[in-house]
Amino acid sequence: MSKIPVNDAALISAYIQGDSKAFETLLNRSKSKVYTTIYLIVKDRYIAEDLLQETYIKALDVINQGKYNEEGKFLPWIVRIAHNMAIDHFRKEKRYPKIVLDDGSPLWNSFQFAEESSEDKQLKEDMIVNIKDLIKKLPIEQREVLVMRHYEELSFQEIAELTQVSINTALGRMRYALINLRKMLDKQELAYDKKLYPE
Amino acid sequence: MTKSFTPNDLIKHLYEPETGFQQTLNEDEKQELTRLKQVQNLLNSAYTEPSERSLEKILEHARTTKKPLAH
Repeated sequence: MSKIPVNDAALISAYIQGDSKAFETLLNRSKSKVYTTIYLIVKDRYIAEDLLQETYIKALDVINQGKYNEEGKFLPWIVRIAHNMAIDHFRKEKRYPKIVLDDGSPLWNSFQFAEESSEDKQLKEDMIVNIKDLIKKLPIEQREVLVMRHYEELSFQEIAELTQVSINTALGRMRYALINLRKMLDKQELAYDKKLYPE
Repeated sequence: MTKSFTPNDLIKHLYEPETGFQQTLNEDEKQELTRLKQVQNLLNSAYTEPSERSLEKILEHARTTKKPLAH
């Protein structure tokens, strides 16, 4: 039985050398983060499943062509591919606007084009706290920063550059995202208590 | 004497912690940081797993496109 290296860079090297089990380990390590990133953007499980496959297939093709050059930073690399796949999904559907804004409003408005699925509507009726559902209720700019920082693990500096705002604005949006989530959680908890213990 | 921090400083520390930062917080700031950490922890519960079918397709692609095992 071959010993699987623990380091991502070593796993990629092992896969390039022909050990497909090494890739399976990489997949198992990263799948949840990659899938969650896609899902929170497109808000549709079926589309997210398709984009997940496309993301890894693209990554595999890059690796197999010998073009992978991320010096061991596999996770942030593949999460970025996933994010771009999700954004491209909207561009293909012609639901993603051209990036031209003069008023200083955010350029990465992709999230607002994800329509609410029937599954989401069902979730709304559910009194049990579901953090995913609450994230989807956040204003676009807040949700964008939250997904990029918490799930994609980009730094605030990187987020500020990508969204073309100051670091303080990115931090402020993250702060309001967390505060709004906390308020929604408190509200849900109160409603749940009232349902369980009516006055 | 404790230094006063902006709310954004707390957010920065929450995700990009600096050594010794927490020792300089006053009680209100510590409480706020604790509340923010609770939400941060909850966000981890939003992780979603893809289907086995999708994973199998990816692995199949990995197997069929890989080079032969080197000896």
